[in-house]
Amino acid sequence: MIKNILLFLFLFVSISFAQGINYFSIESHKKFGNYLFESGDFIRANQEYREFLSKQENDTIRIRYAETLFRIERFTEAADYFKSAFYNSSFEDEARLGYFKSLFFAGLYDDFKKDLEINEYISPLYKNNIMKLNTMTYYLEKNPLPDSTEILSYFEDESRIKMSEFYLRKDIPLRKNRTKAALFSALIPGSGKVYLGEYGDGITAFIATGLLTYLAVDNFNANHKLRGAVFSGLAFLSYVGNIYGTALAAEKFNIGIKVNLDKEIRFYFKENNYFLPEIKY
Amino acid sequence: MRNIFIILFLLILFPILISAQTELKKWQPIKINYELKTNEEKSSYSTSGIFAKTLSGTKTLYKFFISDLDGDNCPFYPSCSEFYVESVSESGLVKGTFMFVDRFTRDLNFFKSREQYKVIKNNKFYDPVEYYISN
Amino acid sequence: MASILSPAVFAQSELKIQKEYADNLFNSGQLFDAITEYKRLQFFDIEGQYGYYTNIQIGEAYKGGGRFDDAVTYFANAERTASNDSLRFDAAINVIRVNILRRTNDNAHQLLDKLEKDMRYNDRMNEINYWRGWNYIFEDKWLVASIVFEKIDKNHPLALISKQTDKNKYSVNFAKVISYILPGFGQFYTGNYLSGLMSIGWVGLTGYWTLNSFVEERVFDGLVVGNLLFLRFYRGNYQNAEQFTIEKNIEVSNKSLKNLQNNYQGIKP
Repeated sequence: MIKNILLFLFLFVSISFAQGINYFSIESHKKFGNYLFESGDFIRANQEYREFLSKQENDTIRIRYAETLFRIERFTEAADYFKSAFYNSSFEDEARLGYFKSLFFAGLYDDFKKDLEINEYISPLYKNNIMKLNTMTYYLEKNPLPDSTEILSYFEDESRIKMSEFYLRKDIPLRKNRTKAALFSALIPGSGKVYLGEYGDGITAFIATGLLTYLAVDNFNANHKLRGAVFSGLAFLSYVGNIYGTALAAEKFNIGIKVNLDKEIRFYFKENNYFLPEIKY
Repeated sequence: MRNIFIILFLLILFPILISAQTELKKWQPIKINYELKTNEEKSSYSTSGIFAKTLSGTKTLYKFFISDLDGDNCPFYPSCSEFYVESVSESGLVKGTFMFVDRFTRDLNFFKSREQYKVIKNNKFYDPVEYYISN
Repeated sequence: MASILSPAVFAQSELKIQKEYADNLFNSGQLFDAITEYKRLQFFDIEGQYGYYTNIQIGEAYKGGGRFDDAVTYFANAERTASNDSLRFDAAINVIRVNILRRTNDNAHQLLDKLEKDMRYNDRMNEINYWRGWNYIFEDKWLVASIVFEKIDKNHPLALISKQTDKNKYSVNFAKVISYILPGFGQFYTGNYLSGLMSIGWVGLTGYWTLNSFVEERVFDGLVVGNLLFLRFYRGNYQNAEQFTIEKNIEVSNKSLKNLQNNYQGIKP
């Protein structure tokens, strides 16, 4: 009798287990999603988490879902999902950091600064990181920089030195005066280009204008009026062209300084992972 | 010891990480083309205005009768003739001509010092008109 | 007995169903989704029964999407998880095929050398030569490719195509040399008759002006005309000859490559 009962129980348990795993169940979506997330396949992890969240709520999955949106560069959506985890979540601090980093990467610097004024949006745990991001927004936008004391206070040691250097270079950029450069070229052809550091071009312009002027004078003296007129015209074009070109080159120089600084700053931020911590959800 | 670990980590993990491209969105199959890429690149530039259009026509004739036959002499991209047409189109005949004269002087540069230019394919120096139009 | 076996049987059939689902997606061209399902199969296949197969299929799917770096990663995974030498070899060949497609030909040669030196694959030299030949084709080295294909079979179709392509090509050196001696004739050689005639005209005219200036003892004029005009057009003549030859050769190569891609019935990269 006991033997039969045991056999019956054994069969019952075996049959129950024989249902097998449903690869598309909520739990499977979650497990597979986690596997994809950890192996860096964020777009597929995103799909799995979306399936899971359509039927069930879970703090960890929600924050991971937001992180996948961030990683596949859907920054505004990521910001929304991070924001939804601000309250009643085990990852309130991470959500706040995630929200601000999403706004930062979306380039929504105005929204970033506006929401920074709302105290409850700031995570005490990651305040320093958020404030560093805030400083970086000033470096990446075109507006004048605010006072350095406060915005640099969140950086330490080497990074502070580097950020100070960038601050100085952005606040007082190396500039060449366009009018000065043009006047130099008007006085001595090519000298404006030398002032801009384009020595080869400057000397060439000087020689070309000089040579053409000499040929004009020489031909007029030799009573070759037509040739004299042609060389005069060319000398005039060369002279005025050099002045105009020098003014444009000065503007190009100034823009180049800004563009190169911007590239350097972005590279430095990227190299330092935007001073963001590694978070494991 | 810590440094060794960091170096090992970078040497082993980094190549694995960089070898995979992050997929940012769903993609479709593509038809892979076996053919070799040709060097030919048609440079496109605007020609608005009567002067620019006239110059463009002259430039075409110049290119056909002279420029295509006297070799590849211009170190810049776009070439000086293309630069002239585009600068006139963007800035008018007078300013455009002065910009061209300046470009020609830079082309002549006896010292061949061109560090300020970006080098692009075919070893040309990239010097488009848009760098000189004041915004 | 059945009750003990039934969980295992169920699990097997589910894996098989998942495999078929992924295969259907793959065969219908939905490669992105196919990769998802192959990865799902990999994840739930705890014993790794389909490990090799899924890695190969994922690699093929990435290859079909032009994502060659990812394809190489998964083919390399397949190579590592292969259960025998034959499968390992097949996976290695897949890595080589992707390298050929993305034109990292040096890598492909190195990998082929490694397979050639491996004693386990002595009986698969024909396959190694076959892919080496394709690698040379993609490097635009048609003559060398034909020699390699001839090692498989003297009358191999790819050997014949490669040889013919090489024959159809123009000689850059010949075009340049003939242009040095007879300006304009380098362009005639490649069929650019108008350009050749105009070169002859300009070189002739500017040459005459240069000589005439020297004959009339206008040395300075002769030097200026000679330097600024004659030499310019003379240089232009052989530069054009070289350029036209290179362009024509690219056309010849592309014609053969297009033909191979669209019409060749054998295995392609």
